[in-house]
Order: sequence, then C-alpha cells, then structure tokens
Amino acid sequence: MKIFFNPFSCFLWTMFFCAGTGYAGSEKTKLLTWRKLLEEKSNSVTWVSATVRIEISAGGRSFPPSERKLEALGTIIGKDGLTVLSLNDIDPTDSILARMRGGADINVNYTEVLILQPDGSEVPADFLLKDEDLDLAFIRPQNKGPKNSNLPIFEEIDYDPKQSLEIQILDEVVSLGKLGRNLYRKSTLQRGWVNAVIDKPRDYYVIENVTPGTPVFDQSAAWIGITAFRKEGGKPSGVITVPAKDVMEIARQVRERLE
Amino acid sequence: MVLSDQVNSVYKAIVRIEVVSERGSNGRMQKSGSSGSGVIIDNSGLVVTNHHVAGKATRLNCRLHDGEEVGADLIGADALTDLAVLRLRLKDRANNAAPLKTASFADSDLVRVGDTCFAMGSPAGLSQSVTRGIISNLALISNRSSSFRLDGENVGELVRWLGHDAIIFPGNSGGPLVNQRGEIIGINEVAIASLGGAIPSNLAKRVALELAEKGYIERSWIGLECQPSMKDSTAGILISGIIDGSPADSAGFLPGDIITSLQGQKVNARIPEDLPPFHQIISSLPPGKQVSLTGYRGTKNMKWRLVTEKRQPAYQPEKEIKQWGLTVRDFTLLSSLEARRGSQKGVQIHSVAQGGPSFSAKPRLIGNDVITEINGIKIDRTLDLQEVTRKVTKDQSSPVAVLVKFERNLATYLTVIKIGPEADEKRPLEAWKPWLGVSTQVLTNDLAEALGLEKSSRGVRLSQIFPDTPAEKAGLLTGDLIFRIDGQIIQAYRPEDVEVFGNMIKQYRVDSEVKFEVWREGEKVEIIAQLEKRPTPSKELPEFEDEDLEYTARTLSFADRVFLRMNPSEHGLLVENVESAGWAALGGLRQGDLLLKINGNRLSNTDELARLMIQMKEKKPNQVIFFIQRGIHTLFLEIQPEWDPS
Repeated sequence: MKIFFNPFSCFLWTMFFCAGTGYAGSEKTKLLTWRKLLEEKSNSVTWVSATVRIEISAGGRSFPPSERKLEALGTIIGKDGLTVLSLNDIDPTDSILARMRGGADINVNYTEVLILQPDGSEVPADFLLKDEDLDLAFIRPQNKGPKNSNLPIFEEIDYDPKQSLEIQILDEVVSLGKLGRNLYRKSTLQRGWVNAVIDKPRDYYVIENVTPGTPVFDQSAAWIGITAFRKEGGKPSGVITVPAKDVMEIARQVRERLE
Repeated sequence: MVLSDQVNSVYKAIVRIEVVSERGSNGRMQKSGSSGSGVIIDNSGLVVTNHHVAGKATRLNCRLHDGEEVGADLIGADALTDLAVLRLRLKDRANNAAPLKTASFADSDLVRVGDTCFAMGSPAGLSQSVTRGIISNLALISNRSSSFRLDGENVGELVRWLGHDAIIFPGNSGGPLVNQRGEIIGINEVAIASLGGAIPSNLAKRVALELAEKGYIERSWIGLECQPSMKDSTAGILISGIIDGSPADSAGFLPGDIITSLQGQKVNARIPEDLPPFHQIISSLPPGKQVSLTGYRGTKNMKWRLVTEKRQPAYQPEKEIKQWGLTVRDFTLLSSLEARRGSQKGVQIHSVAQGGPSFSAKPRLIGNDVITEINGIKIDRTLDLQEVTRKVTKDQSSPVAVLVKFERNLATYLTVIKIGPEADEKRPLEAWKPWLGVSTQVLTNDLAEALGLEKSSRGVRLSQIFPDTPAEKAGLLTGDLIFRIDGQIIQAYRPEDVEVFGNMIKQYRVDSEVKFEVWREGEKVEIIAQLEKRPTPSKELPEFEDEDLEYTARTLSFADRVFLRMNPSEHGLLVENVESAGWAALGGLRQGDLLLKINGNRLSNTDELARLMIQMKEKKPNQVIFFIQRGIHTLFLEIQPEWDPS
C-alpha cells in the first residue's frame, strides 16, 4: 500500500487536531475546576428551616395567628456559620400581601430557625438582619447556652475582598446547590449563562438557570454573588445575582450591629 | 292587634344573652363572642336558653327588658336536647332593682295545629322582639341531610319540635314560643326552611329543672341503633345496628331484629317522626334497670332482657394543653368505639397548633392520635397529661424534651416533643439604608410638557418633604423637580419608574453627601444634602404584648406620627395587634387604634404601659377603660377581662 504525503492536508489535520484538543482542554479544565469546587465547598450551601408565627391585621381586625414551617437554601459566608438566604424564601410577608385586597399589617415572628447539617443534625440559629431591597436574609448559629456548646465547623465559601471580576454577557458560570429532602439533599452544580449585567441604579447580574439563596461562580471558581429575587410591587419579578462584595458589605453590618 | 297583658308579661321576661365561648381549634382554645335569647323562669334568676347559645360559655352577660345588664353563670347544658340553664347573679344587682319578670311553662301536649303563637327573643342585636304565627306541625324533625350535631350528639334524636310560622331570625335561638295565655309552649331552636322549630315545653321544663338541680341530665342507654320499619315488613322498630359491648350487644340483638314492645308497652316507628318518642322512653329509664323487650327475628318471636347503663356523652369537651400546643379530649365509650379502640385509656388529640411543640416533633402529632405514655409514665386521662407536664416543666426556663408514645390507627409510635415555655419569638433587624425624607412622583412625558419642559425630560417631582429630615435641612421644597443625582440622570419617565429615585438614594452610604440638580421656578439650582440613616422601622420599635387583655401596642414610628399628623409633644401608643376574640377585641379595640390613656393614665411609652398592666394584674378590676383615637374620633372602650387567677 502506498502512502501519499500531502503537506496541505497535513496542515489542516494538524490545525483541526490542535483546535480540537485546545477546546477539549479548556472545557476539561473548567469541568475539573467546578467539580473540585463541588468537592470542597458543597457544604457551604445548606438547607435552612424556619418556623414562623404570622399575625395579620387588616381593616382594624386582627386574624388568629397562624404558624408555618418554611425551608430555603442558604449559603454559608463566614466561619461562624453566618448564612445568607433569599429573604423571599423565608419571609412570607409579600406573598400574603399579594393575596390580600386593600393591604394589611403583617408581623412575621420567627420561633425557630435551624441550619440543617449534612448529617441530618440541626443547628439552632437566629435570623439577624434582612435587606428587603436586595432580598437578602442573614442568619447565624446561636452561640450562647448549652444548645450550641458543640458547634460544628462551618464550611464557608471563599471570598477575596481584593478580587475584581469582569463578568460579561454570555459568560458561562456555575451555581452550587442542594436538592430537596425527597432527593436526599444531594449537592448539585448547575451551569448557567450571564444574560445581562446591570449597573444602574446598582450592580446586578441576570443569570439564567440559578436558584435563589445559592452562590454563583465563574470559570475559575471565583465567587460572583448570591442569587435572589428582584421584586416589583412586592411580587418576585425576576431572579438576579447580587454581587459578592455587596453581600459581604451587609455581612459586615450584621457583625457591626450585633457585636 | 294589641298584645294581651299575659303575653306582654312574658315579653318582659326575655333576656338578651351576650356570650363569650371557647372552642378548641389549631391547638388552642379560641374565644368568640355571640348573642342569643333566653327566658327567665323563676324569681331565683333561672334562665332557659339553647345549648348552642350558651353551652360553651366562659362568660355570660344578660340584658333584661328594661336595659339592665346582669352577669350570669352557666348551671348546666344538655347537647342532646340543645338546652342550657343559666342563673342571673342577682346579688350583683342594685338594692332598689325592679323585681324580675318571669314566665311559666304550659303543657305542650295540649298544643294543637292552628293555635296562635308568639316567638319572642332578641334577634340581630335588637333588645326584645315578638313575632306572631300559628302552630304548623307538632312533630317537626330534621331530615337526615340537615340534622345537626352538638358535641357529637344528634340533636334530633330525642326532640320533635313544634313547627310554627312566626318569623324567627338569627339571635332568636333560646327565646320562648308563647301561647295566647302568655305561657311558654316551647323554646325556639331551629329554622327549617321558613318554619321555626321550638323544643316542646314539657321536654324543656323537665330538662331545665334537672339541669338546675344537678347540673347535668342523667339518661339511660342500651346501645341500639334504630330506624323506621321497612314498608313491607311487620310493624315495630327496625334495629339497624348494635354497639359493641353495649347492653343490647349482651342481650343478643342482631341487625334486622324488630322490636314491638318495651316493658309491655307497644312501640312502632313507620316514619322517622316516630323514633324520638322511643328514644325518649329508653333515655328516661333509670340506669341499672332491668328491661324486657319483645319482637321478631324473621318469623321467630323474640324476647330480650337487658340492664340499662348510664349514658355517656358522645365526646368529652376539649381542653388546651398550652405547653404542648394541643387541644385534647378524654375518651367516652362512644368516642373510643368511634376511634375503634378497645379501651378508653389515653388522651386523644383534638387539634394541633401549627409550629407548636407537637407540630414540630418528628414524627409530629396529628388530630386523632392518642397519647398513651410520656417518659414511660402511663397516660390514661387528660389529668395525667397535665400532671406529668406540670412536673416536667416546673421551674424550667427553656423547653424540655419528653419521650411520647402514641397510637395512630393500629400502629404505636414514639416521638420526642420539646414541651414547656414557648420559644422566644424573634424578628430580624432591617439593614441600614440612607434616606432623604421625601415623597416623589415620576416626571412623566406629559407632565414635563405641561410644566413647560422638554417632553423627554427625566426625573422626579418632590410631592412631600418630611419635617426634620435631610431634605428639609438641605432646603428642598415641595414642587422641586430633580433631574440628576451627582450628575447621573434619574431615569424615571413612566409611572413604573417610581422606585428609581429611591433605589439611587439607597446606593449611597448612610452618611453620604449628595448633589441634586433641581429645577425650581424655571431655574436650575444645585442643592447638596447630607443623607442620614432611615428612621427606625416600626418593627424594630419597642412593643408590649399584654397577655391578659390580649393585644399588642408599640411606640409610634416616624411614619406613624407623619400619618397621624402628630407633633413630637403628643403622646400615645399604636395598637399593633388585637388577638381575634380576645378580651380587648371583645371590648372593641382595633388594630391601628391610637391608645391614649388607660384608666385615666396617659401613655407615652411601652414601659409605662407594662408598669400599668402589672398594677392592673394585681388589682384585677372588673373592667379597664381605654381611651383611644380612631381616625379623627376619640372614644372610651370598656374591656372586661377574666384575669388569670395565678
């Protein structure tokens, strides 16, 4: 059998092979980075359970209080277990108001907040601060009394205050999550894409395929922000990602006001 | 037509009864207020009314024909006949009070269809009313679909009402049906279509006098379930069912048997109206009496002998166990059989407070579960549960975990419930935000054009400047148009852009200095404002929850003072919550009221209120006078609590 050597076809094959391996290489690197992120930081996303007692008054009448148990995903952002969630997920005020004609005065009291640990144990926590504009809620394990004398070690997500991320439209990102109780609360990674970068009146990202309360990371596994709801007239009108620096600035306020 | 003197005298024996009653729901005993009618039957102040009016009362107040108000005590109530008896607290009346007007019972067996009758009562908030009609039916019963139950009892089982067409309204219940001689021939109870139904006076009198004497009605029970005989079968009473373990069960009754005599007296039921007299005969027998019955099983003559037993109520009343977030019941024979249990031991869950200790357990307790053990201690009755709870929670400041064994259907489960003091309720703080202290409206294209500006102008118009705020200090004025903040155009030109200005302000730190480009009277001016921290939100202000009178009041917020147009020297507390059917609600207090004074004491902060209520709790006055402002009106409210004896 004769083998013909064609320099032009050789060049094309080489280019194709290189491009192919080059593409496969960056994709593979990205996947490896994200899988490592999942391996190391999966427990920085946690389920939180909140029991609330709701008092509603409208038109001068107060209705009998009712109680509800809510579950939401949160992200641990401090070694002390400080956790940030989407406020909408653990505060039913707006959803109740949306159903009531003529408005109402609603008081939501938190009788129990628990951080659900991967081993099934529960850590009592306090709901410390909320930011209704950014749809963020901050909770922290109780650190007084015998109940939390043996606090677990919390695995927070990494944040570099000096980091400067350049997020652009159509960037591929990933969000860390956890499935519900019926799916054994297994950790997940979801790919998403940046649909929009909003800078006025403040910075937000609109990223598809992400879940409120969970963190979003770029391709180098740097933390971009926390997903929350954007509300209009008290109703969720979209899902946005609040930049990590804004989240951490409010986290500083939590500590400043309570310590 | 003029009422005869006799009828007129009964009119003066009617009382309007204001009732506060309690029912278990959502793990708590919930109070509710209602009213009904009653009639005074003797000079000792005995009042007859319906069980469904006053049978679950925790407080009773009666208004007499002349407007005098007298408190009353519930003596006894009978769910099976829907009758209750109260006694007026005559010793609380003034020495010179007028003698009571009373009414007497007639013989209801003498009532005939077509007789004129008068329905009396206090319906729909009226003091006294009378309507006229005729007796339409002597044996009115409710059909199965419209029968009603009280405390689990079938109210139509013993009673055949006197049907009449004298109009009755809601609130007439418990009032008398009177003949032309001014005698009570019935106690109004139901309305079936356009007919009223009154419990015949002979039955009402017998039950009322026994309740007055003993506080309860003693009846016999044999455990037979009966229905009228089939159309083509022998005359008699058809046995449809026999309750397990009952005297009838021991006597060998079977479904399909027909009873033709009881103690030698012939019995027969062709139609449902014939059944109540048979039930009345059985229930009027003394418990423990040997009874003989005869009848048929197919073609065979039958004779049965049995011993009657004391009839137990269908259900025991529910009780609240606060530390568990539960209302519970003890079993009676019937309720244990309904629950398909072989024993009456254990405490049955009636309702569970969502989010309460029993709801939060894993597994949680649900209605109809039966608690049988706590920490290895047998629980046979509610008293046992209360006693164990008292011991476990004594001197505890936080919830205590107990191991609970309970039954659900045929299975036995274990769960852990943390009982004791209720967990603290907490609310989060709100993140600090800067504010300017203004209300704005969007500068729409139409508005811009009408104001002589470029139609494409974007910005906001200041519609209100709040006093003593950064806006006022900076010299901003109502009517100013703002186009830019620190050089940035305010991208607001549609009504939905209403949040843009506020959101731009919220971007700043709380102490930032901000430059506004303002259009004022046709000229552009620059105004610099120093932003400040937003005033404390209302939910972070001090509040006081009054657990005795059942309301919550809090310090006035900046927004409250603006809304109520109050200057800083004016005092008051805002009523934030009034517990539904609590004492304050029953006294007329509403959420949003401005609480100015209590018993003449001016209130300016929640500490003062707390101190005042501690003093009240020690003195336990019969009434507490609130002076409140509602809108532009001020008014006095009388709150009449039942103070916790502890």
